Amino acid sequence: MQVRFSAGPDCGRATASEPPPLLAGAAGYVRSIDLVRPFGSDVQVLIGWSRAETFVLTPSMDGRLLRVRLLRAETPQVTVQEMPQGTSTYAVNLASSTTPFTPDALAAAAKVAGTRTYVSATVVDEQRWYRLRAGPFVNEAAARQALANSRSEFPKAWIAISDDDTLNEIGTPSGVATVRSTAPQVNASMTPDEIKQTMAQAKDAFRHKNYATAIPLLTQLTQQPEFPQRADAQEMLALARERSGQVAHAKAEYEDYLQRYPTGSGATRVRKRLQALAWASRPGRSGAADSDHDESPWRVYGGFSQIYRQDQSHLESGLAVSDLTTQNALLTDVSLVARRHGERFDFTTRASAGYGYDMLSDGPGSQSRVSLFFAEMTDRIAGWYARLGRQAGGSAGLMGTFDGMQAGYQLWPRLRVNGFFGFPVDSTLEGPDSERKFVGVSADVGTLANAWDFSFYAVDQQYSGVTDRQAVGTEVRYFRPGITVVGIADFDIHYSTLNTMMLLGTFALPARWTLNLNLDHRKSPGLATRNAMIGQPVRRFDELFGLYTPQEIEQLALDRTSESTMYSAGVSRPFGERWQWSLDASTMTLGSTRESGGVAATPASGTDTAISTQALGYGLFGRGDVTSLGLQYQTGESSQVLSLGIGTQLPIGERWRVGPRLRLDQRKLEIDRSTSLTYSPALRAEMRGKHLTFEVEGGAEFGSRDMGTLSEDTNRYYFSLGYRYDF
Amino acid sequence: MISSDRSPASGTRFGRSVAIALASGALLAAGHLAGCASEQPAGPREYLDERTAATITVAGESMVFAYDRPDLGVNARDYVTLTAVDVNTAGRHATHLVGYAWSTLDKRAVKESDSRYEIVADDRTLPLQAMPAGFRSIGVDEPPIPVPSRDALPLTAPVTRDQLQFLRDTPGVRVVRTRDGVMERFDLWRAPGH
Repeated sequence: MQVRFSAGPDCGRATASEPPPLLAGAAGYVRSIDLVRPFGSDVQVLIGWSRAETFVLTPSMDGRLLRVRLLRAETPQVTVQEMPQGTSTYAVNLASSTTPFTPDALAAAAKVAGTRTYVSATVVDEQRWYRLRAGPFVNEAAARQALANSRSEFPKAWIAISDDDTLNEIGTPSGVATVRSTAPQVNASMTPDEIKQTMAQAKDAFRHKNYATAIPLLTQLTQQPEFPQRADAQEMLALARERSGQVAHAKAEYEDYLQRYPTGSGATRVRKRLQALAWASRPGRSGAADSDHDESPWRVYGGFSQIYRQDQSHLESGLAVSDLTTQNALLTDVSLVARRHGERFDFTTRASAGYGYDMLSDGPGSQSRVSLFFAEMTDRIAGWYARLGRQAGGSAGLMGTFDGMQAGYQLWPRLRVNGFFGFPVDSTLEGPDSERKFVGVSADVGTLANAWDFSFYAVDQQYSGVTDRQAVGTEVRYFRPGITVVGIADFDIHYSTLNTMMLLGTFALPARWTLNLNLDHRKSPGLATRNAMIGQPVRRFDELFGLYTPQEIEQLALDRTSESTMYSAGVSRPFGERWQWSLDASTMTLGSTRESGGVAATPASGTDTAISTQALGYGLFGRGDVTSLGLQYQTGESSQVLSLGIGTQLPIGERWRVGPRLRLDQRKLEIDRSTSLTYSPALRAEMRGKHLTFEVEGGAEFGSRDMGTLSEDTNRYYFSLGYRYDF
Repeated sequence: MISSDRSPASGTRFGRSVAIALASGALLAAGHLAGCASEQPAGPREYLDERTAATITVAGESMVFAYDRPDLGVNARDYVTLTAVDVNTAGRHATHLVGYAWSTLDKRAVKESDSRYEIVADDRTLPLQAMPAGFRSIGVDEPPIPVPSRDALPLTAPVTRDQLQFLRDTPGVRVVRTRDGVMERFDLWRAPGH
């Protein structure tokens, strides 16, 4: 009879020599019993019957016994035999700690347990743990007795079975007296000098990409007991195997590295390599090709898209009927990024441009635009970078896109200084305009106290030789787990007035509540001398000089600049695993402007207040769907609007996503006491392949406005169809 | 590992009662840890599995572990839902943790690969065995808890009362998923009674 057992993880480690099974009680039935380990952790029991037998095998309830029932014509007899000395050895895990136990703690524990104690170490979830243990014990009963003795002092004590080197040592438990390393010492055959020499040879071979030489040397090194450079040797071995195309071996080495050195200096790097390996080995990717690709310092990626859009409106007001096509265009966009990651220098170039082909006879015409077009060089050793071309601003007092250059230098570890110059871009449809130009400097300080980052800047902007904007400012960022605060202040020193003051905060509260605050006070539009052009019969700024003195122009700029103030606050929290709920409230006030230079005054807008709530549901219909329900009420001096929205995105198969949505708006206008109601259904579908994405969207707005004696119906239809290819 | 502690919790009526009580207690204790001790979990629920003829006792509400993926979705997550059950097959009792690994993340956003799940409490681990075909092999055909989604992966692990007690007494119990050599931690998201 042959029975093969697969040893579970708790069945103890295989030992080289198994005690011969006993034949007690089986004499006369059994000629021999042998244990064989065919491979791995499997154990095969071979029972030779004294004569031909018919039998039934029955495992016991707890899986620890195997009953063999012989079926004979004579009086049946059941033989039940439990191994008197199990292959497992036991210990009582008295306590576990992330810090080592002192000899005193060991001695005190021995006194409590009434037996020997020792310390073993293990790594669980990347954390090294030290285990204070009593034992070993040769049977579970003795371990349970020790556990009972220890429970009062060690309430979280538990019985361990063959899960450390001490318990798996071949020999008697009495041999345990010292704490041993948990690291297996496979082949301690090299002297320290030999290790040093071999390491040097391996590094040299690795440096010259001679992996065939490096691998055996590094393998030999990793078989040595722990030495200072062993972690480096193992990482290098894994990398050498990976670069030799031995992906499985590389993966095994990386995994072993993480087991041994979970908090080592290279652990993060190794984790990333392992992730990259896993990603590269996904179906559909060629390992060899990608390996070669990864070797290249260049990465080039981008996308190309075309989308056709049409937008039509139908208006009926009293007897008047009109149809209007407001958009009929083909929009083409292209983006390209090329990066080179070198030993010292990184180079990046990025371009993003588009062309709108207008098919309307009375439309704005076909237009091309360039949003980004720059090249950047970074020296990681010297700590400088420079970027030249059309680029996005948004920080250090640079508002919007500009054509120019910025460069920075890491002066100290926590101080970087930057310089900027260039020409602001009003519209990406236009090329560089040298009439308006700026220079600026900034300093980035941080991170301080693991939380604070500061930026200070000064910028001077000239327009046709006149100061357009001259400001100093600061940005303060505070990041801590659960708290994010960003503050921005911009002060115009030419006009001696505060241009922008903004404070954004996100706070994680107990019970998974999140609080968002936003306080925003700013000039609107942003204060600049060019604001004087607003309402004036000029197309170029310098034409103002023929109409006004410089002082008058600056006053006009101030008169055209209003102030806006916005406060908003919101809370959100998840409910269950599938819902997220949020509530937001905001107020916004836009100030008045004065009459001057032939331009009429504009009154203050009053305060617009909005309150909205939204519920988002995830995975309600399956995996990956998102459903939203939203309600908003907005009230101000000119109108009140109540809006209700519902929408969902449903996966269909692996590639398709369909998103129907509906929005209802009820609006009351104070100016004529009219009421309008708008229904806006829409449907969007998207198919995403590996590189290619198709999308189609269609929708309508059906609006009716009741003005008492007159009614007005407006219908709008829109449609778009397009694709995007990413490479 | 937790499963190395072979306590004879099964096999007797006493053992079954204690095991389920501890299971409830362990799950309730997790609720205390989450700071919502005022709410009580639902009591154990018992039903007859008509396909396996086993009586299944489910220990109150489930505990849920979540793995946030802010890079893939602000509010969508991977989850592991677990509950303790006693399976009474003709008087033979066995206690298991059963549940599902599931996700509300769009499949397109994540790569699928073989994963290994285990509960981690201090330095002890309890492997959760994936059972793509369901819980039939432990005597459970009718799911003890609702299946969270169509592609949820059933998980189970045999447990003893000592192990449940250890889980109850250990703060910071979590589930760790290992795939492609990378460990991902699921923190306690919802405890019974919440």
